[in-house]
Amino acid sequence: MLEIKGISVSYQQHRALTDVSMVVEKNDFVALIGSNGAGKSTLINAVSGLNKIDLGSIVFEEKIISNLAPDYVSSLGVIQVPEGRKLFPQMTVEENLEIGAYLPEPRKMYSRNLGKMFELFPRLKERRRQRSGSLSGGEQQMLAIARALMAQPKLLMLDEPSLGLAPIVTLEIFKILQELNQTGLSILLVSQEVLQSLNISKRGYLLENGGINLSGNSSDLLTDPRVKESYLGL
Amino acid sequence: MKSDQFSSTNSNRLYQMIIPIVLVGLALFPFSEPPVYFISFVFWIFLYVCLSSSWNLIGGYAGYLSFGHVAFFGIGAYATAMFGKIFSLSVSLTLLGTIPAGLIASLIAIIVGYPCLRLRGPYFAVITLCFAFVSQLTVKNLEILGGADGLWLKTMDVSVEINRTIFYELMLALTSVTVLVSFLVGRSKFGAGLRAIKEDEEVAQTMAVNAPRLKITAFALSAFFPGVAGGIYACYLSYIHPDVVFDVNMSILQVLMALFGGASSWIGPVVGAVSLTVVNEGLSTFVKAELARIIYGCLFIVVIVFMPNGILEFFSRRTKRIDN
Repeated sequence: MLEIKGISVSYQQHRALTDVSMVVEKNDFVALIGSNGAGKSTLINAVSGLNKIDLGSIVFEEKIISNLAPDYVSSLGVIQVPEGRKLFPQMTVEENLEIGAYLPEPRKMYSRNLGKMFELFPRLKERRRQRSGSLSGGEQQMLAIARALMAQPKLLMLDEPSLGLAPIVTLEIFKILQELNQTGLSILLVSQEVLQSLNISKRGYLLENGGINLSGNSSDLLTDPRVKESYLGL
Repeated sequence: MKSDQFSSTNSNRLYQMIIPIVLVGLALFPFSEPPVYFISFVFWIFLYVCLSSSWNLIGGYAGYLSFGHVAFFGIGAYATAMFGKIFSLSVSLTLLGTIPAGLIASLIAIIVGYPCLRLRGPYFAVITLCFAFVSQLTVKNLEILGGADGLWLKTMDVSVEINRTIFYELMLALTSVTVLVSFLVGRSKFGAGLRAIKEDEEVAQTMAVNAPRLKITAFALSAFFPGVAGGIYACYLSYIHPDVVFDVNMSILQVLMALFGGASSWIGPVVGAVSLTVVNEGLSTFVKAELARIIYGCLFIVVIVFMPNGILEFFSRRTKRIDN
């Protein structure tokens, strides 16, 4: 479904990603793990079209999407939940969801999808007329995910959805992601929560210093000595 | 937040009743034979409502503070004047030229907006301000446009009262259309996209909002109405000069009016333009001119400091708090 073929990304002089390749299959659940500054967000933003790539290519459903405008990439069904939520803080919960359903197709399904979201995240329903900036961290993250889901994505990419959240809320959100994957949604999850994200995902990639150092089934990665030592502290 | 205050069904029904009454009342006003001064005064109110409402499309909804909107007003004025001059038309036929003049203003907005709308925040504000100065200087130095002498237009062969009434009704019509467009844009998907751009342009784009196209459409639309208004104004004055129709004060005033009322809704610029024009006129009439300027300036400072989202939101928050 999504194929990243040997891409390199730089910020001015500084090379952030070098020759990175990875694949997300249909109905896949891929965890991209790695420490601070490894280039995880850079990778996701390159897929979204927010970062330009120097080399390689990104292919989504047989279409080359690298270096295209972000709004075009998202119109193909590649939707990102950005790091730090990035809601529209002055808008209400419902207005945020409305922007999520911006494209014609999702717009037609707006009321049905809105109902679904309120079922998935009941707390958003209680707060639907509240300014999104006034929500708690966990609620904001839920809203960010719901906003992305309103766009009826084919591939949902999440950048550190557990950032700054209480462990119990993280658990809740990861459980929802797993459910979404079971209903057929392909997910690319970027996280520093190595143990938890490998637990819920099917496959994993380890990104270190701008390159993929390890990849495989999540269950295998969990027992890999390198992952164990560097990321799980075992 | 905006839609909460203004689009609930109750207030909608209220608007549906009040607006036609207000419009008919305004349209009939000149026929009650008021002093000509009042007709001209209300004409000015309409003009500013039109300017600040159309500015609001790009400045308020999308958050791109254009400080050069007077350029479109001036371009419209000159385009209309030239249209009448080249084809040596009568005033009423020249007035037809205001529509193509508005389109020319939009076209120039697209050409100017294409590079400029890549800039944000203060950079966009400054470059649009420069655009206003540059267009004023250009017109001043073009002999074919009358240069620094300005341009004379034909006058209508009717009494002052009838003349003023005709322009009053024209401006009322234009202003109504402008406000209607601003209202419709505010509720549309287009408006939702613009508001998303104002909040966070990158995220909006990852939500499939085509930001560059939306911004340039909003900019072109917000240039059209000032262009037409400039044309009507040119015929109204029957003499235009670069210092008058490209007056940067006018640019700044329409921004302030929109911010004063509240730039996130369609009604904000209307309230802002009406109240500030009345306050300004009242002050200049009853207080000495210098003192009037000082009071006017202080008023702005108070509003910007204590009511950054405009007077409307300030007062509606107040009442909400009391309700609770």
